[in-house]
Amino acid sequence: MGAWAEAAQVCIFDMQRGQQEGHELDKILFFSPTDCPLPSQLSVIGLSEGLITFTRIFSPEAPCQLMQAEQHCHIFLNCEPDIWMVMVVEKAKEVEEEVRAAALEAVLKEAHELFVMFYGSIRALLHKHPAGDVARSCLHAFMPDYFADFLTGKKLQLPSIGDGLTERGTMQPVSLERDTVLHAQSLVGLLESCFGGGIVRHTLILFHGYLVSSTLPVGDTAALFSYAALRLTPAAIALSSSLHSAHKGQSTMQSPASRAEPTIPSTSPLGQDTTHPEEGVKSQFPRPLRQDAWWKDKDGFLATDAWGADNNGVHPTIWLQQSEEQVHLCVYQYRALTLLLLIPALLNGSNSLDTFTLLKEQLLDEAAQKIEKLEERLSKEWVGSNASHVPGYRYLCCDRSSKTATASPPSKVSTLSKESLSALNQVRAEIDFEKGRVERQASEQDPELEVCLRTKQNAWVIVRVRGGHELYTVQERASDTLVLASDAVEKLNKRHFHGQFSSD
Amino acid sequence: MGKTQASTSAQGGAVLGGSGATSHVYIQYPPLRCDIPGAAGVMYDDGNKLLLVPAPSKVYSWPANQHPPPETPGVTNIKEGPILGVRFSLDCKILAVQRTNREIEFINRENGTGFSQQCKSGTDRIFGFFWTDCPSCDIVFVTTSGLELYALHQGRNSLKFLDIKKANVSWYVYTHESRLVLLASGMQCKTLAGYQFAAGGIIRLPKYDVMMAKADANRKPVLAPEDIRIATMYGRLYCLQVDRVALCIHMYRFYRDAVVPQGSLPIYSPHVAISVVDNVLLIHQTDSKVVLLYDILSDTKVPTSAPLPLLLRGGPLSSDSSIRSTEKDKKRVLMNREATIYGDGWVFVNPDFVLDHLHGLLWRLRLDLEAVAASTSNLPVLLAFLQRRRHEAAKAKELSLMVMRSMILERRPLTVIGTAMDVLTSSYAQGARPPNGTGGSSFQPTQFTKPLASTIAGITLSAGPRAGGPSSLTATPGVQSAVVMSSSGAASLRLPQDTEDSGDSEDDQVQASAPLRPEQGLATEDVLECTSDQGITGSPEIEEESPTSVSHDLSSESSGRLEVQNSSSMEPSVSSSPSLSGLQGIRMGIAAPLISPEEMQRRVFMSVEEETVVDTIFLVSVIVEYMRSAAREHVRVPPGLQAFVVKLLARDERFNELHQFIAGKLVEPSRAVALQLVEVGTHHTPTRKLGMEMLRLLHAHSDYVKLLLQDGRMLEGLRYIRRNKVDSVPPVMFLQAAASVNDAQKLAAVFRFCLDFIPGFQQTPDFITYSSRLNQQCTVGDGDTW
Repeated sequence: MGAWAEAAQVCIFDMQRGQQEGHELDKILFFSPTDCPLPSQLSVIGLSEGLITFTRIFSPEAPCQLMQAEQHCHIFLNCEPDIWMVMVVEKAKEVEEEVRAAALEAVLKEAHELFVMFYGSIRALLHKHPAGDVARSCLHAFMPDYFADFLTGKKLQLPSIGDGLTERGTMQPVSLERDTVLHAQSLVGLLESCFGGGIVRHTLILFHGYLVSSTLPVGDTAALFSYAALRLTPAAIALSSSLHSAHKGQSTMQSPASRAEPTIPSTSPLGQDTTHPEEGVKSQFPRPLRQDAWWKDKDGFLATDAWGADNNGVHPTIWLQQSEEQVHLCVYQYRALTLLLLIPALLNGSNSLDTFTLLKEQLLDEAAQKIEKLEERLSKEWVGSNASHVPGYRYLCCDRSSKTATASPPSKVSTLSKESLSALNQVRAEIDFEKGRVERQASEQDPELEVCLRTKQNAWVIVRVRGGHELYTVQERASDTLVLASDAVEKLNKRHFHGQFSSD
Repeated sequence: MGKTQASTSAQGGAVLGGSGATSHVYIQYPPLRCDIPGAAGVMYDDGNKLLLVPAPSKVYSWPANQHPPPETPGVTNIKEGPILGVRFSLDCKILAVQRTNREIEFINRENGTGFSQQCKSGTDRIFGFFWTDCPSCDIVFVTTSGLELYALHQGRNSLKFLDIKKANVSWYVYTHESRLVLLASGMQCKTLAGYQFAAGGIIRLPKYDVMMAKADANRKPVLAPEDIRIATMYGRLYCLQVDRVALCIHMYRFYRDAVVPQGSLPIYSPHVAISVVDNVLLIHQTDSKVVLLYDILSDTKVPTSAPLPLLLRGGPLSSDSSIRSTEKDKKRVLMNREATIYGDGWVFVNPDFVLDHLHGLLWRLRLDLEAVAASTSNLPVLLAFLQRRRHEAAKAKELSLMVMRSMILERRPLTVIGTAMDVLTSSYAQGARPPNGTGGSSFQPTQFTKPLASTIAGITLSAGPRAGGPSSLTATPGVQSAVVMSSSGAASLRLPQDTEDSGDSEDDQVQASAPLRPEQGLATEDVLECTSDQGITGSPEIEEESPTSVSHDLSSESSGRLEVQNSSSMEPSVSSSPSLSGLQGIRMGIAAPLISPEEMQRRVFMSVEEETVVDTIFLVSVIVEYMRSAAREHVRVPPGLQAFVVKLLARDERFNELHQFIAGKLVEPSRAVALQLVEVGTHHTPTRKLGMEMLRLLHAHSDYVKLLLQDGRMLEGLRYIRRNKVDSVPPVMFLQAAASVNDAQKLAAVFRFCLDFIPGFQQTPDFITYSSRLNQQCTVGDGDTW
């Protein structure tokens, strides 16, 4: 129901299951919209599976990424061995260019990444509970919350060509003075050496929605950062708190989560305790992406009930991809500064509560002053969200290896004309394709590409890819010649990116 | 006694051969012995650091600051006669001998000639005299009516009277170290006026009254010279006044134009003595025979360490046995006496000598830094203390390094380690900022050099033989340096005559101090009872720096010395020469236990890492703390240390953090770091790229190009060479590389490059080699290589 049900379908299935005739339903782990009749579900999955099997003949490693049909477009993501996520997007009626597939694929990737962070991999869940019920419940608990963020009113806002100068899953670094970085790092050292070390395993420091420091590997940092940006920034907390109090005040009314329900129907309307088959599901399967999951306690720590009904007893836990370790998440917020502390779950048991209380006390005792000082420094240095703006350019520069991206602020990007954006979208699609090809060749060298494109409106779209870094620029200066536009990009490169895009 | 920290002390023992006995202050055996038969006493000439022993017709002299002490003294012949005081001129060429209350005899040691000088007015008595290196006069007589300034005539055969500074003088105190003379006047002798004979000229300090507690309402206490001590610490001048009634020591600090009370230190019995060793204030509680250490630069007014006894070290037997016997000592009857700590004859001479005039011994007090280190639990404070030591800078430095290392090995809280790092870096920054030349050995040497250059002065004696008389009074003050606050309360320099009888001398001095007063009789008691009614507790803190700085400026001229204290009134100045504060001293190139970032890297971080006890995460945090404190003091962190951080992070595969460190410039770009990145990036491509990128940005062309070659990116390398005009890598290397990969196309491209851009390439043997090779390949490969 709702607009989005028509606009997109998302399904997750396991090709290892339901191999025998009559058991096809067993393949389906998740399907949205949930009220879609089973035969249609099966037909979508059947088609996908067929395509995958067929294309695998030619390309065993990367079978199938995208299928364009007349009215729909299928995006495939092989998120885990034999487990696929497929998104079926209806093409817009107007003759508008559709967004490049990679942008949609990034949404699926992010969803999967977050899911794995909270529940562990789907395969592991299936392994532990071969019946598949747990995996299904988890997916049903998580996905609707995730997609609820794409709703504006009742409309699903999937990435569009307007987002051409963004890159999902990357972090925008803040450029700080060395002194400030030293202070941040010194704080990290202090926190991680508490209790003789080992208690605080990892630390992330965020300032507003920006990453200041992280001791996690890149992948984990990116995943946790995405989550923090969605739910833990001061802004998100403010929103969540207001929802929370509203929720508390009128518990008989719709829970905030159920607002998502009309648009993301699931097998059982999500978050509706009354209709959910298992009453206990709410506490059994955490819903970390619930919009009112977190609120701030008086001591500055953030508290949540998304991992269980009991606020005090259950600490949020997440899985780290790289170390495959389960850790507790403890969040402290001081003004715009958010500290994410990860504490090994092994310390669990009866002591964990004490550990937490102790840790919190120690944190307040020893680090509070440092935290305040750091916040002060950061606030002083903070130039606002327009810091990354470079007059005359609209750009995106991303570094895949560290998953960071610097880009013109959205408000500036929105001044670009539709044509420019569409051209950019096209070029990016080409580049994605080209990059994919180079990657498949398993060449040791990074692709080195440069594309200059003049649009009908005389804007220039110039892309440079070099050494694992990508720079996308759009300049809307009608009078510029190729030489001028190219020089301008060179200038941008030299001034802001250390000349790393110059080919020597 | 004292709480010891097991680890630290253990370490100390291991590394430095710790001293075993529990004491923070010790005297080192053997002492300087000066048992000259028939000697008329022992005197200490602080201007030249000489121990002088006048005998009837000779004056024997020993340099006091040599260890082991010289056996044979210098000898100067003099005429027979009474001797009240002796001092060599600062160049040691003229010996001045005070013969009577009115007359001083001068003997030129070079030619044996001599002359005498009487004081100006017939009614005055000379209390004493001292030589100075101040430009306006050479010698100063202190008389009952003030200071008489004289200069030597050219021929050095007579004195020229220059000036008189009028003042009523009951007694005086002078130390050459401070160049400061304090003149006591008034009924209670508690008004002190001071003059500093600094290299920049004579400075008159403001008069001030000390505070004394009254023992009872009817008796007014009288200040005795042994209650006043001029102490020079860190180039600052202090007057320490022992208030034996109130049981405290009042501190006053001299500025050019003010005397500022600095608070009081408690004492636990009226019997105390004061020394200054290496800028540390020692308060000897002679009753209980323990010493308390105070470091005036530490924030607290509490002793640096727990009270421990003074020990004799290095004796033939173990240091703590009080009786030692060896053949060496057997010849000495005084064996046991030598071992007597705080014996009756002990006089504490400024700054750090102990003169045992009963036995003719001179001891020098020393600090046992290891023991202090072992018994201090507040490590940052300890480090600050160690960093301020100059006498044994090398040892202090070793100890500092050791403390730092053990803090890390023991995983002390990071905040504590951070504070400790701050201490080390800030002292390094202060010491190292002005590039300093060679290191002298310590303050002391500096002081010496100057004085020595000038003249050798004689030692002033305390009371003369006729102590009872007014003359003795004079003598006493003169000796101030030698005068002591001895336990007995009496000053202790001995008169020439009564070598053994300190008691007498005490009386003499006492009387001396109050010579003109009615209360003379009371002397001893009064003195002891003096207390400050006013209770100069003063503001505990050192107040301002501004006065200081002024004085420093002045003093800078005379760079050498720490200086003056005044007891009497205000104004002492730190002026002239003295002003070298400890820290300034460092700048002057005096050896100091500074620890450079390179040493931190090598001696602390790397050596800790070798022990493999500490996990790298913690070690990295510690280094980050160091970087933070270095940044605060604007001290450069050596690239080697930064590369070390890179190595540590990479070892734990914390590549993401590594990237953040680089992105945040926490690890600053440098060739060492870049090469380290390339090295650790062997198995982590992004890191390798980061290193290469850094090389490129650093314009380390040849490194960069070689790495490109290594990666087989020849064309890119050639383009780079051409664009950046790199000539350190010959393009021929590319030819070899291209040939070795067996890629004709690449070889051809490189060849073409050489042909086009290397002038005269066609004449080189390479051209022939590779062109023929290419031709071959072209024919074989059907040759569309071009």
